[in-house]
Amino acid sequence: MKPILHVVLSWALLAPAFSCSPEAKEAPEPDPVAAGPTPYELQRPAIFPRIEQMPADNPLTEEGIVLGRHLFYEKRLSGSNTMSCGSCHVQEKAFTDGKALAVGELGIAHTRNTMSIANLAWFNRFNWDGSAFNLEEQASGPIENHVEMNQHLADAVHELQATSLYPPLFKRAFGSTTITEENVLKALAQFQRTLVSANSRYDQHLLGTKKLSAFAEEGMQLFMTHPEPTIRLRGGNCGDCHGGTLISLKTFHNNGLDITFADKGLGAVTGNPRHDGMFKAPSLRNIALTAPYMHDGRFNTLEEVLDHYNDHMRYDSPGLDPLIREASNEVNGKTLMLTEEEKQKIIAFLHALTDSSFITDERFSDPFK
Amino acid sequence: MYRIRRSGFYVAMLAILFLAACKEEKEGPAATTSVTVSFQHVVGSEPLQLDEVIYTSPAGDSYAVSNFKYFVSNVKLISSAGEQIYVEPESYHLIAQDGKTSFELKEVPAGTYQRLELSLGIDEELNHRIDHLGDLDPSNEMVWDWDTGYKFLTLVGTYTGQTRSGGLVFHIGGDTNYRTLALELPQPLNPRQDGSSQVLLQANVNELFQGPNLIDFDVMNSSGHGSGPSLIAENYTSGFITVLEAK
Repeated sequence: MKPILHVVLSWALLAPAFSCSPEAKEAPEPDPVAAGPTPYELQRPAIFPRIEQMPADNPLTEEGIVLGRHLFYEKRLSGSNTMSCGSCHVQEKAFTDGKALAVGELGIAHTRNTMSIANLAWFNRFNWDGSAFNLEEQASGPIENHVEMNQHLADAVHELQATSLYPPLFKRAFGSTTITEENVLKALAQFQRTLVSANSRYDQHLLGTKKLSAFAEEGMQLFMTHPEPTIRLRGGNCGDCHGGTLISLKTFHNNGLDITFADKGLGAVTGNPRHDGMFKAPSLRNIALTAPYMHDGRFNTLEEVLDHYNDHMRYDSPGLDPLIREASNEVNGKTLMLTEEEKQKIIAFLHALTDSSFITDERFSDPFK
Repeated sequence: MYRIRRSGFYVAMLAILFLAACKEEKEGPAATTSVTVSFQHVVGSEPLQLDEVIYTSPAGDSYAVSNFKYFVSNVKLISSAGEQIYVEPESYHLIAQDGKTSFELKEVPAGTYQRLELSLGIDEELNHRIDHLGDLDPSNEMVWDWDTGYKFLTLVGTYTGQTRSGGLVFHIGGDTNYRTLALELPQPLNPRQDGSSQVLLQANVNELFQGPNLIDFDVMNSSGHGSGPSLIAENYTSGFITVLEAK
């Protein structure tokens, strides 16, 4: 049987599944071009929750993802054509840049640290302050912000339209060679939704394919446990905010960094003073690759981060999260009071969150190289 | 030969799919309907408002609530004589003051129901699995670790007691604290065919801290493991959830 006949019959098989109307019973003429882009189904890793972000008006397609990958690494999206999204979101660092604060195309430092990009289809609030509710909306921020890529989206569209590369890619992905701002953002969102990291030692441990070392497994227990000193249950108290298989509960917290807030974080977005100083508890997947740490990159190492939570917490910070305030490994303890060895166990677990296949996956890499 | 077999396969598949796709339309309306179950949260006699209001606990401490969530699972409707039982499939609901406060029981058979049964928490079978039934989600705020299972109830806030003040963190979980409540409806429920029937429940936060165990925040202001959660679980078994009306 010829392949084309397979296509006809497959269509005929699928049609009644959607409708019982008489016209659907006719086998439609196969026309691969008019059929539009090829749907792409994002696989949910076995231990992940349901996919959170898959807007009906921007379904994943193979052509859309290809386009999005090119745009992600396209320097024409910046004002001086010197930076792409990939300039700060570097794959080998789990899509971060190794800097405390991101530096844009004008050489000006941002007020915040570059966030890792992984598993974003499972999240619903983006940026450190939760200011974007979907990836389409998020993508315009860094392009247009003058301390980031510093380019009006409309100007970027003109530049892309003038190339020989992009009009056909847009035609394949969205059906028209005429490039629009909306479709630039949609393609970027599609590519980012395919950046899935789910093959760390932690994943393998949960799936039962490869166990963590005893040391790292004890670190995992400590990580996920809120301490209960009255029954001598020890805990690092990390999982109250960075719990679950995404290693983030997707919530916002004041984690006791400061007593006054130069950057109000969530509070600046919601206008609610109770939210001042609250930032997203990001996923800690690949955290060993994404130093420096915190929304302003103030800590250079994981040891410094653990020291903050264990020893240098600002308990006088207004609105400090009760989940932190009420966590100590000693009865009536004033601080978390982990031992040095416990901190090292937690750090060993954090290293088990590194997914080396994610940072070497060709599909996520720069297509211009 | 190959060609004939392949074609025959397609014909058979077509027939099956047409039947499957059109089956529902050929049947008449089923004699089932839906019933909405809603939750209203109060502290004593006042409505619960996150962050905004200072409440008084049964032991006389002042407190505010910033986060209040709990799992309701395995919901059943039971007829007067117990001869008819409706069991909701995939019955796992995360009820939250700032989130979902109602759900719909679907395809409830016509009948006269006298009792609503529900459980607080997640049954042992699903509590330690990374599954996706109902609102179970291996990365929602109720996740703990897969040894302990889910948090069944979380209440976070701040308090000022007689001798101390600080944060309140009650995380209740653990298989021993999974509790089933049998709630008598104030009058028998005959679910209407238009799906407008509802059962309105009330959860009283103060009941977590009394009856039988009076919780003094000066003594216990956080609880996740050990005996503390069981004290609260005993309390949520009695008087925490009541039926306001069934109509």
